[in-house]
This record gives sequence, C-alpha cells and structure tokens, in this order.
Amino acid sequence: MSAKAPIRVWTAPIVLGVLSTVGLISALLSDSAGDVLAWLTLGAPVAVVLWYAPRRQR
Amino acid sequence: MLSASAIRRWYWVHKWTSLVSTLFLLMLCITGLPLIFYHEIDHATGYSIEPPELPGVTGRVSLDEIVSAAREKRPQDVVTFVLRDPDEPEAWFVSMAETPQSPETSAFYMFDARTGDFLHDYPLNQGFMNFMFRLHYDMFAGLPGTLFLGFMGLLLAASLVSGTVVYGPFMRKLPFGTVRHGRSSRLKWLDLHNLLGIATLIWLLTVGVTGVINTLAIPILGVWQQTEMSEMTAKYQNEPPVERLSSADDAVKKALATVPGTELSFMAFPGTNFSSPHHYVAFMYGATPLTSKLLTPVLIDAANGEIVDSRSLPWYVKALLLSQPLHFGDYGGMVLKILWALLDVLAIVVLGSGVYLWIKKRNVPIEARLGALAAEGAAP
Repeated sequence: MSAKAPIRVWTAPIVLGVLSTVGLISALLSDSAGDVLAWLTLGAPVAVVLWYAPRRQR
Repeated sequence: MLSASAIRRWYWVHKWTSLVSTLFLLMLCITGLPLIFYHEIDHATGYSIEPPELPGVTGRVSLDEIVSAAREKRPQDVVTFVLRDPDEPEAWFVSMAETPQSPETSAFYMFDARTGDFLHDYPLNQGFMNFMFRLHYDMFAGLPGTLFLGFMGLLLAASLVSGTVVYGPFMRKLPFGTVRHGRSSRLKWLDLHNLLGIATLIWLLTVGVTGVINTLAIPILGVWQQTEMSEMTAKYQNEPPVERLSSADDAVKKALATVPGTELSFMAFPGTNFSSPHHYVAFMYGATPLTSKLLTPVLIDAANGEIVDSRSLPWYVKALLLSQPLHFGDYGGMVLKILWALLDVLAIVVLGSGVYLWIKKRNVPIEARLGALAAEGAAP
C-alpha cells in the first residue's frame, strides 16, 4: 500500500469536524430545527466510532 | 509534509501535555458524566422538587411577600439573590447569606410564585451530586483549585492540537477508521485512540476551551465589577448605605419595562458581587434561543426604586455566558444531553488508551513506531 495523499488522510476528519461545529452552533441559534440538526451532526462522530471500532480489517 | 524532527517535537508535546493532565482530565470526564444530568438527578432524588399543580390559579403574589417570608425564616441573614428558572415559571428562588459579600450561601429556598407559599429548603453542600460538582469545579480547593483545573484544560487543548498533527503521519498508509484487531493489543488500542480522538476532536476541544473560560468566571466578573459597574455607580460612591430597601417587586417590574421582550433571570440585592451597595441589579434574558443565553443588567436605585442605568454586557462577559451551554450541553434537549454523555465516554476511552499506549511503548522512539506501523499496515 502506498502513502496516501494528505487529502485522503484528512477528508473524514475535516467532514466530522465541520459536522460537529455545525451541531454545536445550530442548537444555540435555533430551538426546534437547530436542536434536531445538532442531534444529527453531533451524532455523526458517535456513529462513525460505533461503525468502525468493532469492524475487523479484511 | 512534516520532517521527522518536526514529528518528533509534536509527538513530545502530545506526550507531555497528556501525561501531566490525564489524571485530572479523567476525573473531570468521570465527574462531568452525572453532572450532564444534574437537573434530572436532582428531581429524581428529591433534592429538588416541582411546584404543586394548582389548576385555575394564575395570579402572582408580590415578590416583596416572598422576600419577607425568607427574611422571617432567617432573621440573622440577608437576602442576596432572587432567581427564576425558565423551566419552573411557578417558582421563585431566594438565596440568603450571612452578609451580602459572604462567599457561602446560607440558605436556598423555593417559594410558590402564585400563593407565596414556602415550598422547599435546598440542602446545601451535601449529597452525591454536590460531591461530584465540587470535584469537577474546584476539587474543594476554592479559586486556586478552579484555576488549576483551567490550566489542565489548556493542556488538553495543547494535547488535542499536537495529537491532531501527529495523526497525519500515523495514518498516512491506513484508510480512515482502520482498527487492526487480532494483531497486537497495542496496535488495536493505538488505532482506537486515533479513531476516537479524531472523531471527538472538535467536541472535546469545544468542551475543553469553554471549560477553561468557565474557570475564569470569578476574575471575569471581577473585571466587569471594577470597570462598567463602577462607572455606572460612580456618583453613588460617597452616599451612606441604604437603610430601607425599596420594593424588590417594583424593581423587577421596572426592569421588565426598561428592556422590553425580556424575562428576569435573577436579581442581585444590594451589596453582592453582582450589584453595588446602593443598587439592585436585575439580569434580564432575551426571547430568542441565542439571546436567552445572554443577560442584560438593569440597575435600580435601592433607596428610591428608580431605574439608574442599563447597558449590555461587555464581550468578555458574553463569552463567559455563551461558554456555559457549550460546556454543559444543556441547550438542545435530552437527546443532546445523551450525545454529550456518549461523547464524554468516548473521551474517557481516548484518555485511558493514551495512558495504556504510553505504558506499553514508553521506551521505543517515535521513528521505530512509525516504521513498524507502516510495515504492519502494509502486511496483508
């Protein structure tokens, strides 16, 4: 396996970081829609961990 | 691309900022877990209660009646604050202390806003949740303890930044989310440390930095008191102390009229750290989700009941007020609290696995580790 370009290493962390940021702020700015958006976006890091952590590498 | 020596330096920063702070951060994460559900636990354990249902009773008694009732219960003490809770519109809360400047609250009462009935005397400084809170807040060491924990929060921020920098070289040859089960236990935990750390990065950085800002609450309010508050009350400086306080009920009504569209969060009685010796200060919150987290102070002359001044808080107090929900996670319903708890548990795993990795490999240089990783990552 050859070295990955930096963009490949950082795509998923950047997406998770942007989602987390959106969630942290959206619930501050709006009550009903903002709260739901925060649940979905801040749920993403938890979901990603639950998806990848138990998976056996093929 | 980072040079080998740059990676080594960043790794050194990650290792040492983490090692110094990990025990305290683990304590903060563990005590913080029940604190996310403070409100729910207090109600479930009977520490706090809800006002009774009184169908059809919509009237409100004068706040002055409630203040007098509190004074009758503890004639030797003074009323320091009257408070509202947006979730309990039928209740008034009254806090008392031996003197207005006393750091210890001597009593915290709940009264019925509709009937003026005394409802609840909160047990102070006892119980499991108080113990969790004090560990989390100052480790029972007062302001020095709080500031020390704030410094641990700064180390957390440095550890997260340096950890993110070294994440790059470690993951160069691995697809995102790789967890190498079935090789060595150390490799599996290294992968989990990297995955959980990078996934929770922004949340943990936010909770860490807002926690640091919260540790500065007393200095921040002190600066506000010394500057804006002194300016607003300068012409009262040489006046004798107020002997008979004007009506608190009237003060709240005037404050509500002064800043339309707001509600009272709490009102400081004269002489506290949130007021002046001559003024009530009513702190009003706005109606939108954002402005409901911010406060506007209204000064009321405690001798004649007239409005003196009202100006919005400076940026550094606003930053403190906004850092509270971002630290507590109490601004998006129960689902957000549960997510806060899950992310907190992931942070505990990141901290624990970090210690484990250090114990396992503390004598192996970083180059050897990166080399070994590349080799193992490339194996079929």
